[in-house]
Amino acid sequence: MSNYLPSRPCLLSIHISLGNRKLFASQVLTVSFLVALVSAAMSFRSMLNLARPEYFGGWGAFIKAFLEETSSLVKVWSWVIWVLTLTAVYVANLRAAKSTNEVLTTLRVLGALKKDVISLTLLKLIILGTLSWLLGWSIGLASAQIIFRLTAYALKGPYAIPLLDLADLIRLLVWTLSAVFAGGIWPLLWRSKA
Amino acid sequence: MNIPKLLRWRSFTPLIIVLIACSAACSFTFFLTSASLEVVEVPLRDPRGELIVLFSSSSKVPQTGTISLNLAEKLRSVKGVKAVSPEVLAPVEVEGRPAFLRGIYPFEFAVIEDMRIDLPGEKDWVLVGSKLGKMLGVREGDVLQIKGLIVNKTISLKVVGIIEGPGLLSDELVASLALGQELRALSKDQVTLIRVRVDPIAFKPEDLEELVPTSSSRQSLLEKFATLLHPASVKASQPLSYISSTESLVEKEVGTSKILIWSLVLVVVFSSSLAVYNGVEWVLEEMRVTLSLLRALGLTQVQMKIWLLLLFALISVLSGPAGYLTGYLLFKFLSDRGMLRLMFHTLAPSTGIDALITSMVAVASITLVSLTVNLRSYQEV
Repeated sequence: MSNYLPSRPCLLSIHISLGNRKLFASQVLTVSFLVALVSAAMSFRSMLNLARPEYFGGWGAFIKAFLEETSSLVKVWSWVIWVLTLTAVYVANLRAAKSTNEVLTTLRVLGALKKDVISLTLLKLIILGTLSWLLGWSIGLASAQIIFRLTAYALKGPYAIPLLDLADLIRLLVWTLSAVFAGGIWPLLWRSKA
Repeated sequence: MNIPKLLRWRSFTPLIIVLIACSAACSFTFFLTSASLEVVEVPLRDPRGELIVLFSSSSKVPQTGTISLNLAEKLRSVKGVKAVSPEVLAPVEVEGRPAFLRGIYPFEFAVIEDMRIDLPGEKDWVLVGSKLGKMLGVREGDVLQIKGLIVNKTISLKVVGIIEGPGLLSDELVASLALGQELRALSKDQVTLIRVRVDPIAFKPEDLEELVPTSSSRQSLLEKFATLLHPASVKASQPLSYISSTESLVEKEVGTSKILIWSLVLVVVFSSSLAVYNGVEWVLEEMRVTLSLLRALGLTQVQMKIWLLLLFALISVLSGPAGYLTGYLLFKFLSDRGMLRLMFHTLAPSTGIDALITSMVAVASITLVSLTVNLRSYQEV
């Protein structure tokens, strides 16, 4: 049984890389909210894509062109939110880098290499990105479904459910990790100089 | 005490970056929202207040309904009416790009638009909007292949002119009313909308109400919310395939997209609040030693809080215009490259002060709330 559990050094590495728990939780929440925002928009986009042009008879081509335009708008807008996420991660990582600076300096004094310190920071970014992705798309999708269901009842809109397929989830993961890593580069460099 | 000299202004950089990004995201979303709504609803507005647009009362957007052409004849006899232009909006595809073809009576349309149209007697003519013409690389004298999106038919039309200037027409094609009716699959006595130019002094709206019966079928926003608040009256929405009118489906799709875009502004503000909170917390941490020093030198708790509130308010208010400008330039850049389009029209950023105020107020309020929350748990060194 013990073979299947992470080793003690591995758990210790995770423990050190995450740093202050409260601060890390605040980082995850910050990024998750922004990921939720984009995932909700993506699920709406997927829902619009579900509309079959054949339902619309002669208007099919018009609806198809209109949905393509809406989809393109959501895509462009999600890039703006990507930049916002990047800056949010940048600030959150600056704070985190400062809080773990003492521990990492001690490790360096005790003989840890620079690449070990960088690995710990990268490990943290991976955990941050993955957790934010998981939490973000769950919150985003659930909110989108609740909001759309209520809106559909109120406005008697088309009956369809916002969804995220596997391709959307992968796209969202790439989106999250790229923003988290891009935002984390500067604090990482700042730390490696220290 | 010269407090600003004691501060490490560099520690404000992360907060300023977040505030500018937040403000840029807010203003970009605002531009997207307002431009999208404008594109759908602008045919109904006129800055001079002399234009009335009539379209089907059962239609939520002017682009989808149909009304009788006979109404135009009746309107011409109403006192105070200067010109009446019946028009048809037909969705078409030109060189692979979707656009609206506006079918018109050239003489009346010219009066309504206050422009001069010279047609050289061509039968199959078309006028091209300046933005659309630029995107397609079309010049006067070229022949365009235009494919109807509702009627599966392709026709060749000769470009007899380019419509210059901004506005909705710059993204449209303008041709004869008969052609518009053909491409929109309408009979000869039907049009999409009628635009009426009136003399604001002589014209009486009551005269129009006698000609145009008002519909009571439209549900007000209040009624819609009442339906939402009282579950007993809530009915399940119908599946797409059970709804008979295709035009109403189109309107619902457009309506859903409008709601989606509107909700984005609020959600952006809410979602970026934690990022701003982190930025404020970072600055307070960096200022901790300085603030403790100031307290030791005699600054009271209340004075310190007021001073911090003023400082953060100033920074957030100044970051607002920088973010607004970033959002505006980004929007304009993407818009000029044809990447922001809705209802076959290019979205243009509004130049009003609304977006600036929205982004400034949103960013300043999040910052001040974050500061207030942070100050509650603030402990001096």
